[in-house]
Amino acid sequence: MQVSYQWLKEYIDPGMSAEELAEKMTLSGIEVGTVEKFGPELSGVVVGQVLKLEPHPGRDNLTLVEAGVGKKVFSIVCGARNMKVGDKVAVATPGSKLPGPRLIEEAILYGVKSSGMLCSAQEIGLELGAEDEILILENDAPLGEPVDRLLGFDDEILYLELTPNRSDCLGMINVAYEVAALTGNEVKLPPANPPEVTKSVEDAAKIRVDDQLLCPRYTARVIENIKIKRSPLWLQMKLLKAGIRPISNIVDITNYIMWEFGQPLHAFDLQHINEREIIVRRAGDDEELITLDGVKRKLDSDVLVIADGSVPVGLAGVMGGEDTEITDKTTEVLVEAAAFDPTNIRRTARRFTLPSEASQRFERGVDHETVMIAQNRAALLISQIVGGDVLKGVIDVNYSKAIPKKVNVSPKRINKVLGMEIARDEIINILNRLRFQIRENEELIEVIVPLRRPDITLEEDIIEEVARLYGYDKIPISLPSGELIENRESEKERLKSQLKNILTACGFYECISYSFINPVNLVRLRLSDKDKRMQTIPVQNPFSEEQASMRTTIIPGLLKAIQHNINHRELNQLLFEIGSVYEAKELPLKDLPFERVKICMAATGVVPEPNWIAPSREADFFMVKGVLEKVLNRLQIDNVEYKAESEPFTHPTRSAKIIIDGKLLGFIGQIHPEVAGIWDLTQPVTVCEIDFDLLAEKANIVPRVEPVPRYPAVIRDLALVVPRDITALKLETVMKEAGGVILTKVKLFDLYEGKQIPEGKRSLAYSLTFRREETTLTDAEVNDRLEDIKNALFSLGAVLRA
Amino acid sequence: MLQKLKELEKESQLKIDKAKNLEELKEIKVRILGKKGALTTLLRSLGTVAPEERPVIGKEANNLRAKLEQAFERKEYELRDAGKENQWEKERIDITLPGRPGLLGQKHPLTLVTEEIKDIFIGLGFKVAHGPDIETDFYNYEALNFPADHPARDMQDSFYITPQLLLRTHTSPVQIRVMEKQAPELPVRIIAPGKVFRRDDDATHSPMFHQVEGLAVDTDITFADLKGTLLLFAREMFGSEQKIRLRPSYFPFTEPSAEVDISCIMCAGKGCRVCSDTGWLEILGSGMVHPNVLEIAGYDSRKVTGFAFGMGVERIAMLKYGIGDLRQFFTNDLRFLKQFGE
Repeated sequence: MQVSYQWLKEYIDPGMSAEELAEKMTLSGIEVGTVEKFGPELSGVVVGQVLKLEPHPGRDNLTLVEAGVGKKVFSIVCGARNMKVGDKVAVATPGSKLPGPRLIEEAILYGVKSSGMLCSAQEIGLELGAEDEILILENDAPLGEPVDRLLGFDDEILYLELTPNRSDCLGMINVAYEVAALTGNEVKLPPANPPEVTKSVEDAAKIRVDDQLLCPRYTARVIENIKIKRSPLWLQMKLLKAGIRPISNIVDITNYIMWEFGQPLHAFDLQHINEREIIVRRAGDDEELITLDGVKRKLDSDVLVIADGSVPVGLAGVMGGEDTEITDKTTEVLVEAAAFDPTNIRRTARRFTLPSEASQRFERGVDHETVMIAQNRAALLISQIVGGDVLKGVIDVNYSKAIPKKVNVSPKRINKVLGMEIARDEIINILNRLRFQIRENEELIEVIVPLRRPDITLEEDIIEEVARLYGYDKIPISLPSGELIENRESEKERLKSQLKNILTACGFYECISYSFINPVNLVRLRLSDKDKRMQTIPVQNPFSEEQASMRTTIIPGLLKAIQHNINHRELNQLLFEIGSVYEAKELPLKDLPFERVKICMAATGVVPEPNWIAPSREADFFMVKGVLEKVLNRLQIDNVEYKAESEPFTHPTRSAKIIIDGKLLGFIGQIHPEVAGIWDLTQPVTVCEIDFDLLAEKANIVPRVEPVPRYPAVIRDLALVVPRDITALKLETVMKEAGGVILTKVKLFDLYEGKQIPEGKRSLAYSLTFRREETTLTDAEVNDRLEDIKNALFSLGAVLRA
Repeated sequence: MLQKLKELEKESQLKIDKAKNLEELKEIKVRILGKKGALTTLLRSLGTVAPEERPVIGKEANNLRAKLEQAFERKEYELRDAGKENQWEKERIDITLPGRPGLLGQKHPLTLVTEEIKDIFIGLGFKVAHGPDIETDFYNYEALNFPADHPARDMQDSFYITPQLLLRTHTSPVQIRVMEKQAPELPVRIIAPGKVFRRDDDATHSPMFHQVEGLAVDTDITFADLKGTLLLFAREMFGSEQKIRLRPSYFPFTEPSAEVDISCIMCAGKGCRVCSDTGWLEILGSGMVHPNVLEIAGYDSRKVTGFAFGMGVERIAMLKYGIGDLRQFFTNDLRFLKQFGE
């Protein structure tokens, strides 16, 4: 809502500057976004009169104008033709500055000297008229008067950013009431008493309202013998300050009233209303209407229309129809001022994507009493500005049940909620300034809320009014008191944070990617239609395919990040994300889906970054597995199984499923070379995704501690050469079985394939830790066990490495 | 006697300083501290001193001995080191070489800020609660006093899954979920961090972002309590000089409602580009819990009151770290993430 400060002053004197008022309004709940000066800087442009018009001797399309500006007369060469002798015009005298900026000086135009310029509206910064049309001023404009002063350029516009509850301020008069509440000053209401002729409106038109719920009040006046032309300049200027484009006198007046009272009006060309009857009804299912914007709209019974005796002529409260539009030929108008059901208007405006100044006001609800005032005020302005005959009376079909709400408030409760002491007198003073009627009833105050403030229905609403006008800045500060509660975050939630600590300590950076997914990215992972992850939950109204579904895996999010970073030459990347994926129980969704938390890692490049001192190793499968082991160690989960099995998007022989107690925790794997190709990944990437809930379920979130061993350990190394197809897991299992309880740790410290090792074999070196809890082990004991272990390994086909 | 001790000290120090090698130093040591050394000799004449002065002199003499022993030791080190110049040169390292790279990643800035917010409110006695990202219309709107077809719904454009299910547009539904579960037990004091989604996508809006909701409900929670809590939060988050300003506003689920500004952290309230010359930065919305909301969640709005607030984590992170572009949070660009530690 744009509020002209000068216009506002017609209704109330704020007693302060526009900036001060803006600050005060903002701090009391009507946010003023900005205050802007209206109109550009203009100097040297004054009111002149056309004294003489002569053709240019050399150019047919130019005219020589003599323009008098009080005592001085300027000879001006002009390209426009819309002026006649006697017209008042805007003369840019030599030395004038116009917006642009543009400096006007004396010049010779095709052999004739031109001292200045006659201005079009656009040349002085107004969005009025045509480019090649001189701005014609009012006849009574005083000669020599600066045009910026005449047109009210010395004004400031307050841009209100209204919250949905304060749509009352979509009308200047209600803004004035708000200023009154701030200042205590009086509101002056404009006159609304049109002179009427003897002919009755009942003889000129009929109104029938078929749907009382959707149209609780409909009023109409008829004005005859009018002539449609441009509005006087003062009215056009006011509309410009409100941000509305002037059109013609009748339409401008209806817009002016809408701005003044917040009550939208509509004018119909009565001669085009069949049978001179207006019927407010729901549309039929096969009806159509061409609206003012020239678009043909298909209607049905959800839409409330204004119809004449035969067809719809307007979408009620949203937009009029083309057939009954006011044109230059209109001589007789029916002016509608009505109240419609907000919800119905909102639905219609949304359905046809026709949000308008009118629908915006109707869908927030208009004041049913103001309907009549606005109607009469419009008739007065029409008779003053347009002329014509205002027929006697108003047709008023009124089913409105709106009555001012009564709200009881207790000063005690106001103070209890606010946590302070505002005196009863002060509360009453504030309510008076709001122009709310009050009746004191012992401790309570009964407040009668005027219809212009439909947002106020409860005691809490009054509390807010009191608080905001008393000043939020005067409210003291305190802290809640009350019982202590156990308020640490749950262990499981804290585990997430611990995991993040472990992963960042391992060099991984936390990522956050969108919870949306483009389903194509799942196809790009080569997931089959049967894969559970393909059952994504679709979003009904995405902006683009990127938000078309909810993610079922974080992998695409991290692959996108990897790709982005590779493109920006960050080649060595360790990334992770802990976040939800969304699993539908059924599609389409009937109930809330499972939101399952996943831990996802992705690694590529080398670790650490190439440097002068420490060797860099590829961030591969084992790097990621190592990090996972750190997590599992911390959580004291030791019964984990790795099964050589791949995902559709991972390398067939470099992937593992991770299993705990027979349940699938997740997977690790290098991205399949072909998938890497599809994703433009120019280097190997290893990913891992595991289930947080299962991890948390199996974890000792609080570590269990065993006593530190009292007796020393004996450590023996063992270097083996074994066939390549014997897995490390197999070797370890065999050693542990043969080693018995005193073999407490088996650690691989070297692996070698190549020279000196026969084809098809590899060499593994283990460090074995023996320890008994209750006594020191003897060498003999350890040697016996080591022999058992060796024998078990030999039977697998292993030999000792020399 | 004391005078003599002082002279001896001075003299000895001079001799120690002048010693050219270890042998010379050893000789000097014997001559001063040895059995027949100067100090011993001096002490032998203690008998000539008045009896009442003897303890004082004795103490001074012992101090001197300790002091000189240290001085000899220091000089010894010096002379020994000086003799190993070659060895040191051989063992020289270039200390300007970079250190051995260790591995260290970082949490996402939004996690860092969320953890900080959590810490502050946990310290104030609030509990952390969570709710689902996909919500019902009831929890996201209806129960929060946004009736169907109400213009207030235009304030937040939603992504719908079905007509009844949507991506939550704010963390406020957690208020209802928590109260429903707990009613009529008091007090309720929670914060609820999480992802939220709005159908907006431009330079200053992301379709997904993060909020932290706060809610306190008890028999006598006041607007002043809200103001105090938020002031404390602002100071813990942005520094103890912070001021806050509450402006009346509108949210369907609070009444009275307030937007909360903090004094601009860039210009300390003087006015700059970041705060559009106002000196203030809007950081959160808040208010007293609307009676309809309390009732629907199972509390008697005549007997209990509450306050609620909601803040955007991105907004706070941007202010705190001086981040200019909202999109940085979701591109996972390492050149951005590594600025939080490498």
